[in-house]
Amino acid sequence: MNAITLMVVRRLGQLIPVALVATFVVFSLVFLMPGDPAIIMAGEYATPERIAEIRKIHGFDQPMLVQYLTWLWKAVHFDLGTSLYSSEEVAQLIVDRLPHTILLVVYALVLGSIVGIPLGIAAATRQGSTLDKLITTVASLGVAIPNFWLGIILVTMFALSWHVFPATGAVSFGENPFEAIYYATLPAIALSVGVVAVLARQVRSALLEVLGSQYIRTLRAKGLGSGAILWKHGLRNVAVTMLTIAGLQVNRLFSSAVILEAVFAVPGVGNLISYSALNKDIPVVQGIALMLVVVVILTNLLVDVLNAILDPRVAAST
Amino acid sequence: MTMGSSKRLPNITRRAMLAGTAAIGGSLVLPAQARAQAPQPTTGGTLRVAMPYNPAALDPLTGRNNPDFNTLFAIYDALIDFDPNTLELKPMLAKSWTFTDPTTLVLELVEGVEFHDGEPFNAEAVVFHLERCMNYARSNVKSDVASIDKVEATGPYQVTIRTKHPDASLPAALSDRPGCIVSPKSVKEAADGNVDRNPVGTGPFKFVEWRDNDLIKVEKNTNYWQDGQPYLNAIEFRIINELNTAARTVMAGQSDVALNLAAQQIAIARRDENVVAEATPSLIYYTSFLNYAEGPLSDVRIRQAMNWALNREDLNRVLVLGLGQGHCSMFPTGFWANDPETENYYTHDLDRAKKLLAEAGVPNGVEIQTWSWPDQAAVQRQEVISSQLAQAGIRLKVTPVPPAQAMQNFLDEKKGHQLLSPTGGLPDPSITYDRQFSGNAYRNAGKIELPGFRELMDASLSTFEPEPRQKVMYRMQRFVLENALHLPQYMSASMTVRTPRLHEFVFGLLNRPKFHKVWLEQA
Amino acid sequence: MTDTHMTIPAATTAPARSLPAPNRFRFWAWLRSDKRAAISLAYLTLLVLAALLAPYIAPYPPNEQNLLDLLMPPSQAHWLGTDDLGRDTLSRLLYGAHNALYAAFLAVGIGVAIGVPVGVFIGFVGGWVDELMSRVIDGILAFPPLVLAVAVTGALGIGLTNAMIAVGFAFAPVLARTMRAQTLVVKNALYVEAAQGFGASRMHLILRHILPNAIQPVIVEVTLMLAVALLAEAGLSFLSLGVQPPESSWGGMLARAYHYVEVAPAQMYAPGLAILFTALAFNALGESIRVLLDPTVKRG
Repeated sequence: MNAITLMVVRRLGQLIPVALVATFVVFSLVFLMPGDPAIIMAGEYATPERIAEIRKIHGFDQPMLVQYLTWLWKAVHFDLGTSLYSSEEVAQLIVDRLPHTILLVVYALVLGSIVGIPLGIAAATRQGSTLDKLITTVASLGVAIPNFWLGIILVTMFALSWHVFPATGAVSFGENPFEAIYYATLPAIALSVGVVAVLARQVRSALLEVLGSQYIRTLRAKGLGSGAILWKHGLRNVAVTMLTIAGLQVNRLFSSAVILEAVFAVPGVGNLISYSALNKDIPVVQGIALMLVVVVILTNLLVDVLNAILDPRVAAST
Repeated sequence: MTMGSSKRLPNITRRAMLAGTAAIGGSLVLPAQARAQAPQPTTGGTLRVAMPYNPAALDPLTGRNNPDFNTLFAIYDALIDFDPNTLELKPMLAKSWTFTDPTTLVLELVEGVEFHDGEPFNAEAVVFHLERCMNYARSNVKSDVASIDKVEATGPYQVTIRTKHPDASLPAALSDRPGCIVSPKSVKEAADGNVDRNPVGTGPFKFVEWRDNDLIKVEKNTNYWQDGQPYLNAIEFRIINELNTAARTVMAGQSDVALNLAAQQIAIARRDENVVAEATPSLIYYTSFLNYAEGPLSDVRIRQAMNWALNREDLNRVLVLGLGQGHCSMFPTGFWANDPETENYYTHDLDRAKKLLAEAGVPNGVEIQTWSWPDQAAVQRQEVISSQLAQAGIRLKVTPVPPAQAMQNFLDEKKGHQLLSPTGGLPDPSITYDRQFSGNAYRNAGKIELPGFRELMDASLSTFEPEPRQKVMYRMQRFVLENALHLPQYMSASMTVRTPRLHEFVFGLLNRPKFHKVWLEQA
Repeated sequence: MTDTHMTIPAATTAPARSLPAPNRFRFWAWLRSDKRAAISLAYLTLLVLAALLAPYIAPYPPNEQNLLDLLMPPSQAHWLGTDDLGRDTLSRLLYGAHNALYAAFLAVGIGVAIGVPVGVFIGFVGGWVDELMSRVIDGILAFPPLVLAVAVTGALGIGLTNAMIAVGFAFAPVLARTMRAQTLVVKNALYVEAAQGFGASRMHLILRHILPNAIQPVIVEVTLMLAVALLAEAGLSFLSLGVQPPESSWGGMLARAYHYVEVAPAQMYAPGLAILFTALAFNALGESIRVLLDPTVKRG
């Protein structure tokens, strides 16, 4: 365990500068906006006094570095400002909405893994067969299909035509877990297609590499059956890869969730950030971007830890 | 909790949806009056309301948006009530109101009323409240009560208001936000006098909780001053941002009524026999604010040309599926201030439009810089309007910006010539004209008044008798249209979907429901 | 955004080679042998032609509204039906192709313009510059790509160009990383050779050989990125952040069609399929190029 703790510490050391860069990018968004940020934040009915007041509150007259550090300091204390549009606190908005997005992402990841990994294994073990070709084609499709279009099709078929699932909306998990999952199923399916495609492909090629390796050939020569080879040695070796890939998918899942939440009217952070971007509600945009980046970074760290537990060599080499 | 009926909804045909009034139902019909044998109200039950907007605040003074009113009249009573379909004023907390002279309004208050926190409702409370409307730093209703000079309690249940100039619209203002009396005790006990999230009034329901963007709960005020009311035990207002989702919760039986809907949802809901979809006249209209002080639109002929170029029936048919009203008045057909003679002052006449442009010296057309909102519905509106105007040679150069910024760009910074925007929904026509066309009105970009306006405006405020006042309103309507002070497009509709078990629910012209007499058939 | 190729940097590193011999690339032979490349290239060529010739081949002006024929199903007059304002879907699809391709190439172009030089520079210079910039790259890559694009677009202001600039920002670090890796590979190989007594300017040799050699995986990546950029543009336009009306865009058409999906579901197929096929074509072409440049890497 000690090696793992050391690894975590080392990784944190690497991740902190990354986090700082990411937070700086989020912070500097407000400066990308054409025009004076103070005027924009003052909103309608703004008097020159109010604008000056905002300038002072937000410290727009300070040098950029000072502004960044102040903003960061507040952010770390969960003070992310207030929405220009609704005057609600950004942190509260995020707390209310993030669970919906997380439910979708986790659900999609689980679905995608349950479907994608076996597909990849099947394709690898029957390399060159029709099944393999079919799976590969499906994987290519899964990567190219616009998943919001797939979402629309799912809504049309499974919700509006055959009333199997609700078309839009969401229920919070805390309120009623079963309803929550029921409502989240269609969007999660649409979201998971990309994961299935990537996992199927990567698991297939990783497994092929391992199965074709010298190590496995030796085992085969020694007379070990295919089944044992596959399960005990083949998969063990790709487990780390699989986990890494799954972890990396979290990033793109949050990305796709932005659009899918719009399609399915899920009141999550993805929906809110696009709505806020449309309305130039910069504090909300910044708050959500910041939160998601932190979640992604922490997820990657978690994946590293899990990998290290699975395969101690990883801890040593990180 | 079941989701959706297993019965498949007949597919709504394109033809049916677009056939307009015939298939979908008349928009000009006021809701049915009491049926021959009205069922008896039953008490009890919790009403579940689905609404798309989260209020900014539940303090009537600090909120900004009309949809806040979905909840306000549950918690607050106003001094003066109004008929939801005609806006005729009726007694409420003020059992009578009289202008003893043009600048003095005397209110006689109801006795024996208590706020939810037990404080007595009396003249002192009203004075405190009205002064707060005028002086509280965060009050957004200062302009509503701008005509008030002094308020005083001239008896334990009598309030005298002196105004700076005659203001016939003041009673209507007292049926609006300024009239929703907030408990002085709650204000005094709140930090910074901020009761945004802890509303205390005298209304039929008491505030229970508010989870932002999720749920507002209120429960029956057992101490309510009007006997027998309310019938409901509680109301849950659920905030569902997306309109289709909100409507679907009613069809699935998870809500009892969905508010502030758009034409799409009505069309689809009308196919479901289990729900009642209603589209009734509304005071909200879609128009463009014009800057007629400078730029191409300072020429009245160009403004008139724009008005002639629009085909309002098409706008109504395409954008609101025929559920609104396609005419150029600022008020719905049948409303007391709407002059039927000038309701269709402008019809679709491209030749006339082109002739006017030629007279104005721009026979080859003109470019108008326009602000519009970025959401899908606004984009669709802008596309149709642009196409119609383009046929007369008036080319719109549209920049989509969010509402707050659009207002700022156009009204504060005076950039651009036109802003497409819905507006209206005010309790008195004088207020409507004042807010849009008075020289110092926020929505008047050019900040000028054309000659003749001020006289009409003053007349509308100083004429107290209904019939003469109506004549003034007719003249004002004609004035606005002749001078093409704006580009009216169509009247909207008040649209809701509800379960047939819900009775006495009226969304009304102002989209401000009152729940005093609303009742639910128990299942 | 779908981005298989962005996941594992190792997968895009070509095995080290010594200086390549200039090879005469037999284009038509390649197409004959690789059906997938042939089909996708044919499709893309047709698409580019359609986009360029749209003003001549579109049956109707794309913005011409016909308020009497709203949401019509496909018919002789309108092969793909009409949309919610009576505009011909086929014409809008053709004009939308123009926006789609412009968007994809703009975003990737920006990504290349920023990412490639940065990647070469830090790979070449190494040291603390490399360390620092790699952290910066990691920092930007930590963002879910569409979240970054949405945020930047929100700040810059909505519109196609701004949206694609935002997407380009999201691409740049990926390309920078690839170029850096390639630069390192070539640099090490050459350094050894150069150190063995060429004498001529190391910088000159490296520049003359890094770019041509390192560029090969980048070509693959760029082609795959075009698919991603296309999907990103469609997504951003779907959210009303990208192409602004009345200009047509496939994503925008899809958004409008979705609004009316209970009345005229047919309208959502044309733009959706257009996006799907084009993304597929870019992907397929990218994969074929990858196989072409490095046949030892069998991706199937």
